[in-house]
Amino acid sequence: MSTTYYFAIVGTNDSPLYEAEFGAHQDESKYLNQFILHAALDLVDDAQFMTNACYLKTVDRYNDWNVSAYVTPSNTRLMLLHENKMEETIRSFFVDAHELYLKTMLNPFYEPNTPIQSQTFDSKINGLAKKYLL
Amino acid sequence: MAAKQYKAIGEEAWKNNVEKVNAELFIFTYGSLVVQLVKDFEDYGAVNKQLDKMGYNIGVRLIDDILARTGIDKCADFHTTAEVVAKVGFRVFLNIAPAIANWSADAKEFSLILEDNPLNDFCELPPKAVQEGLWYSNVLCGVIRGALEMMQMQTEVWFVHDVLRGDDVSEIRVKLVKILDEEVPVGDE
Amino acid sequence: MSNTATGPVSSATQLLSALSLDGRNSAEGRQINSSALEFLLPELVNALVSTTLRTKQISERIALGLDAQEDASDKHSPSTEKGQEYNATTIPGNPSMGSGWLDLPEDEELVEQVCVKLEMVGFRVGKRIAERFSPLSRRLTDTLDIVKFICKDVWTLLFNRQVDNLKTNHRGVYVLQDNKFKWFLRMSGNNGGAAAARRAQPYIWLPCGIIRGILDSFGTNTVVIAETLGLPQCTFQIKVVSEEQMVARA
Repeated sequence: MSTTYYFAIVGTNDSPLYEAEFGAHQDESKYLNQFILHAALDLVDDAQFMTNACYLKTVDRYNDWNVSAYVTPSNTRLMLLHENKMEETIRSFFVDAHELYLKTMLNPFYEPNTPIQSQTFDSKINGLAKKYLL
Repeated sequence: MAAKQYKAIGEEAWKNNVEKVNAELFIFTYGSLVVQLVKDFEDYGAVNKQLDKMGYNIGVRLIDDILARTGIDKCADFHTTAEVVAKVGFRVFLNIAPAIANWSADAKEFSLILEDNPLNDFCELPPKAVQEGLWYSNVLCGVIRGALEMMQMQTEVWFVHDVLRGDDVSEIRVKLVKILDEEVPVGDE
Repeated sequence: MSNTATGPVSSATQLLSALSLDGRNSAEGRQINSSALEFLLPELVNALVSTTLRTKQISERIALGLDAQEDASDKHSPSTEKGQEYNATTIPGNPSMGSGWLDLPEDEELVEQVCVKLEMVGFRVGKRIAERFSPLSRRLTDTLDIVKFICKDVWTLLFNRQVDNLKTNHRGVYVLQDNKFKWFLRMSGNNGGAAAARRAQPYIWLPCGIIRGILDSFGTNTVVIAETLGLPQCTFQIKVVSEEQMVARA
């Protein structure tokens, strides 16, 4: 199976703080993925007003793709582009990814709303993808 | 024997004689301060020095507090000093008790092995800080140096290893340079 | 504060028990001696006074057409380090005496720059406190809820007590009053009055920054100022500012 996922963390200034692709790699798809996620940001904003839960489930669809979103208490958006519907698995992925993001935020040397460059973070996120998604 | 005694004194003081508070305000404030110093100095060596200096100023004030809380008076020899620093000083303030290790043959140098340093919580050093030699918790060296100076011991204190820099352990080295007051008995072995 | 959201399930529950405020108090998690921070604070202020002084001296050298590098190389030899001049003149004799609360330099402009830095240090602390302690079962969106979160939960975590009084005009101004602000308790013991109030001045900027940082994390821009009518009392005023006002200020 060649399932592909695209994961992004979007800061409060709407710029991506972190991006990762899991599964089968297609270089040319990166810009399309970014475009789909960016287009879904408004829908995330809309969905936030309907609930005060963090996990917003699927907020948008684009062809075969679903866009799921999770909003942290401080309004950072975790977004995942995926083909199959699997609400609870993605919830678990988001919750664990949020905890990793939280640890990054607490690092005194990390400036909020700047790209996350930590290698540890990257490998742990990939670990989560293996655990839940792949 | 003596080791056990100081361990008990430290734990007793921590349990009954200390107002405890969630550590994270302290941890975040320290981290934010280090980052500010890095910005201001743009030189990690200067930051190390500044942290050590701050620690020294804290140490000379903090020693009275420790003595008052524990009833400890003076240290008979440098072995006792090591016990008091590790089992009483660290316990009363940070609720940790580093292990004492690597005594030098002349008994004038020892190491403190910090298995669990609260200051390190949440911290991940940027590669540049590791390369250019930042000792993130260097304030601790200054505190030890300042406190021991008030106990008439002139020391040199420095970090040898730090887990934040990829080392297996965090290790602080303490070296007795000289006794400042002749009246204090020296542990000559 | 109401909680209408249904609690997250499965692995989310684990994160909740570790991080959420629901059922959490300061007895959980790592604890240290509350004096540790009280020992650190004066040194924090002193350190920022010396780095600010150093920056100022360097820029003065540049303005005079002198070589700034001369100073920059100085910092490798401790005896001539610029920053030490400040401490050398303010810790006369035995430094073990007193509480570490030093008198500030006369230079008001310098003190102001130090206060700005302290506020920024506090702001970064506030951002982290918000991330670490904000409830995960619900997102705080209403400013009053955030302010209540600060008054009750944050204050209890940080100072083992809640603020004594919270007032609002319901038009974006909130006033928090703490009659025994912890960081002032030691200061007020010395000689009170104007001298103590002036010495306390930088210290109020740290909690101001913390409060602003927490509100900023939840997307609320504010200006936070504080005043003391007599130590250890301290009053914080939070004023919500709109995006347009932010631009106008800048």
